[in-house]
Amino acid sequence: MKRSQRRKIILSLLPLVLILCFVYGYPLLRVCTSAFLGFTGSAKGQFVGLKNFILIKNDIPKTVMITLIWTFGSVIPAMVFGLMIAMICKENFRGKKAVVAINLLPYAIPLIIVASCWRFVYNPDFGIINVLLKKLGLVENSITFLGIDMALFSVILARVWRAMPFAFMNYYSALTTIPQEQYEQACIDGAGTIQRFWYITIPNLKAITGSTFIVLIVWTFLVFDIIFGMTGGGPVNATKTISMHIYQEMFSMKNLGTASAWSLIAILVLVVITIIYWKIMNKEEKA
Amino acid sequence: MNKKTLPGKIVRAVLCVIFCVFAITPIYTALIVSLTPYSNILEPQLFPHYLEFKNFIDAFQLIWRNVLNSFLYACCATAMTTLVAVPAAYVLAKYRFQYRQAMMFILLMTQMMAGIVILPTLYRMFQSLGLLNSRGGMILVLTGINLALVVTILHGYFSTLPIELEEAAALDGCSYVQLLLRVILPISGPGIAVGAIFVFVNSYNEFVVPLFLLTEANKYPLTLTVYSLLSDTTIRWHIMAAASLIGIIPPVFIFTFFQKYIIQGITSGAVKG
Repeated sequence: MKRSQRRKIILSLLPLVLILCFVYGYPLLRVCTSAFLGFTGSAKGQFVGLKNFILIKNDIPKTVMITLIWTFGSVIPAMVFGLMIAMICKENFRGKKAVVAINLLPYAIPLIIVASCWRFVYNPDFGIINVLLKKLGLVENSITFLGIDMALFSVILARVWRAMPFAFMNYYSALTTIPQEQYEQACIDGAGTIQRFWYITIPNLKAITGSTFIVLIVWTFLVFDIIFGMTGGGPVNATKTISMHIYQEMFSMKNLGTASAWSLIAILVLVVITIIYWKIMNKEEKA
Repeated sequence: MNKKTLPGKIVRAVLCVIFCVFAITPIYTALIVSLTPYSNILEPQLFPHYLEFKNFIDAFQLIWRNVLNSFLYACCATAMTTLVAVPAAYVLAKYRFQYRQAMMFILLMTQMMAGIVILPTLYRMFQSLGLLNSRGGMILVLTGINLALVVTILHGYFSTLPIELEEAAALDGCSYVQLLLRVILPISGPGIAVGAIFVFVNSYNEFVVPLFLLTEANKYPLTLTVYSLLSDTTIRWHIMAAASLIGIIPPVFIFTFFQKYIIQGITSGAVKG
């Protein structure tokens, strides 16, 4: 490689690399070390081995369980509903543009405002679900959506609402790339609606389903704003996912060590999923 | 292709209504609350009973500085991200060099990383550098977390440009900087627009980063102000609702008017869900 070309490459990438080192590199390095440091005596921390992990050990099973329910409980419905609305919008009909725009809308809204809006919906006094249920005579007393039994379900519903447009858009544009001839040929061969869906649509959507699923999993499992704004992890830890633990260890317990221990666990999961995603993407590119 | 039968049309219409109602409900509820005077706030309403527009004026007076802050952070982050991403994406798309694949993997990694996992240590680092509560520090972090997104979008875009462009420019005696500014930038408008729109909206919507890095209320972006309304001991529901609705106007506006670009961005596989 020519020297001038090498210089060009280095200079072009340098600002990017510097900023990434500053924002991700050093903090990540510090997570890896801080997870094994104790911060009780000094602010600088001294080596304590696995003590931080032993401290959080009892919380791990329940937290992992809640995080898994939160993640899969919101990603799977979001994808199913997203596919449904995409299938509807595949064909032309009057008002289609409005339907697309309205169903894209939640994607624009800041997560913390998603939280505030859903708190209006769930409010026991003026929340619209309770108002409706009472008007219809289905319940006598308001349902406490953010109470201990329902809180996890309620925050999940808010996440489904926000994640649906993403799945919808991915499926919507994937559906437009399926060659129309395949459907026409199937029609000539006498295939019904269900058969066409099963033998043409589904195989053609395999790739997009895989990548959408992975991306939504990664970005859902550490979502912070929605839970923080709606329940703060409560009541009685009912919605305390890994990201809530990281925040509370840091600011309520003032313990960087245990916060980093939780972070490190999350980072390991992220690395594994990213490698899987990377492999899949490269395979698709080659195919 | 095939005409929908009448039952098919009815099923479609019903599903459309259900999905649209679901998408609208939270915003509709916020609208009802925002139009209610505080004394009547606990009254159950299915349709708005009041039209208290004063709430919006009160909310606006409370948050307009924060909206300006959000715009400042978002605009600066957008400009900086684009500036850093264009040359980087160009060499990643056009040249084959040793650590190229590794760079692409690192970019993907940072894109997958949620802010919350690095923010505790980033907070400590900013503390010792005296960068807490600094607007510049905040913009730098916003730039960092959005870089991968823009590089990925531009990378896809630049890959489609013919290499002859560069050769022709070299024959005309263009330097590399001139090539980027005079040749590549003018024809990359759509790619850059998609990236810039997403950085702007992402930065405007960002909440976790300022939650960790800013403590002075006069520097809060809108999202943080909404949260402080949300966490008050006595929640002023009417103000919170009006502030939320005012706050979503910019991103909703952008998403509605640039829908084509948004869909392009989402399907480029570079965008967060």
